[in-house]
Amino acid sequence: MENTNVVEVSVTILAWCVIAWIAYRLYNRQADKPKIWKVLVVMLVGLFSFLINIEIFGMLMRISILPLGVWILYAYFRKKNEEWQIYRPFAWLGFVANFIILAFALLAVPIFQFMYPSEPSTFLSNINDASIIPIHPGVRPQEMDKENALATLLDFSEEPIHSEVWYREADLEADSTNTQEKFPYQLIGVIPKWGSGLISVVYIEEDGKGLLISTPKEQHYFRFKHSLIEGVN
Amino acid sequence: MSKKKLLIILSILAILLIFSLIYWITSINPSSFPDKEELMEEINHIFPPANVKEIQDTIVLDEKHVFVPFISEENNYGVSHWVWEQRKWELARVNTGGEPHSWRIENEDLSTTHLVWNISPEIPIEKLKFYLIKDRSFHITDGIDYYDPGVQLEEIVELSDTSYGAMPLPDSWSSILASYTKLETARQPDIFSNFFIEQYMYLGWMAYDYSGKVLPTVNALNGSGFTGGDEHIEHIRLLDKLEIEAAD
Repeated sequence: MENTNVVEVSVTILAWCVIAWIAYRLYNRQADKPKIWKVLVVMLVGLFSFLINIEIFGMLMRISILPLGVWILYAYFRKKNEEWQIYRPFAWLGFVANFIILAFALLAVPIFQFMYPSEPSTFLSNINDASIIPIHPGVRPQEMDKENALATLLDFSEEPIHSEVWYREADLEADSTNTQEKFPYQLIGVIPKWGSGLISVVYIEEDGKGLLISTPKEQHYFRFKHSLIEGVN
Repeated sequence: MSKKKLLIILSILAILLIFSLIYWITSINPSSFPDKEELMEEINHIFPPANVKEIQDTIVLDEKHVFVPFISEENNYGVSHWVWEQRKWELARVNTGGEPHSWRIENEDLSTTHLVWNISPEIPIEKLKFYLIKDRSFHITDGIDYYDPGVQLEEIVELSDTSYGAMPLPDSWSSILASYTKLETARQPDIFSNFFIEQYMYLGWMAYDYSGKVLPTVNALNGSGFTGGDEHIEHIRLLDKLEIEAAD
C-alpha cells in the first residue's frame, strides 16, 4: 500500500465502471440477448489495438489507432452475420474503452497535482522515523530537528537547480582531491503524503536549509528560512 | 470403480504427497554444515591446488551462505564460499588469495552484500578501509537541470586477532542502497534495478600499513581459484588515494 498512487487506482476503477455502465446500456437495448460470457470475451478482444506512445504533460500516453481486436472479431464472425450484428457494438466498445481509460488517465493529472502539489510536505509528510546520514567526508553526524521540522517545511521557496555550477564548485582546488559536496547529507526513512505513492531520494544541504529531492521523473530544490538540522541556525 | 480400487488410488496419492512433502521440507531446510575435516577434503577434491592444511573458521552469513577461510600447506591464506543448493552444501567459490571482495547473498537485494577477506599476518596491513562511492554528476536535458550529489562512505576495519573477516554492509550503506533501489525500480519497472545502480555506485577498498601509508597492490592477496554456480561474488575496486575525496 505504501507506494500506491490512490488517484491512479481510483481513476482506473472509475473508467472501468463507465465502460461497464455503457455495456449494460447496450445489453439492455438489444432484443436478442447475447450471452454474457461471450460479451465479455468480445469486449476483451476488442480492447486489443495498435498503439502509439505519446508523451503528454510528462506522462507517457498510449493512444490506440488501429482496432486490431475488432478486425479479428470481424474475421471470426464473417460467416455468422446475425451474430455479428449482436456482438459488433461490444467489439467497438472494447476498442473505445481504450480511449475512455486514456481520458480518465488524463483527468488524473490535474487531480494528482491538486492533491499532491510539488511541495516539501508532500514528499516529507511523516518524519517520525527519519534520520540524517552523512554521505560525504568532512561533515559530522547530525540529528534532525524533528520538533520544528514540520513548521520549517511549510515556509519554503522552490529555487532553480544550477547543476553545472554546483558540480564545478564541489572541487575546491584544481590539483587536489579536496572537495565540498553541496548536499552532504541524505535523509532516510521519510514517508510521503498518504496515497501519493511518491518515491524519492532526499538530500540535505550543508546548512540544513535546503533540500534536493530526486523523484523517478524530476528533481526539486527547496530552500527554507530555518534549518532542519538540530543546533544549526 | 469399486470402492477397493478407489481406496488403493487414494492411499497411493497420500503416500506420494507425504514423500514429496518430506522432499520439499528437507530441500528448503539446510542440513547441518559439514565439519572441518569434510570441508578440507571437499575443497582439495574440487580444487587440488588449494592444498588446504587448516580450516580456520566457518562464518555463517545466513542459513544458506557460509564463509570459510583456510590456510594452505604453502601458508597461503585463502577463502571459500559455501551455499546450500539443491539439497546439499555446494562449494561456490574457492581462492588461494584472500583479497577483500563482496558477496551479495540475495541477488535481488544489494543491501545483503557482505564484505569478506583473509589476509596473512605476514602482510603488513594494519587496517582496511572500505568505501561505498557514487560519483558526483550533472546533466542538462531539454533545459532541465539534474544534479546528483557525490556519495563517499567510509568504514574502517582494524586487522587484529584474526586474519579473516566477514561483515555485512553498515546499516547506513544499506539504507542508502535501498533508497536508490526503490528509485530505480520506479524509473524502470521492467528492468532489474541493480543493473542501473551498479553503473553509478561501487564498492572499493584500500589497505594501510602500520605507518599509515596506503599500500599498492599486494600480490600475495591474489591467488588462483575455482568458481562454480551463479553466486554474486565480486571484486571490489582497489582504490588509489587520488580517487578518494578529501575534505580539509
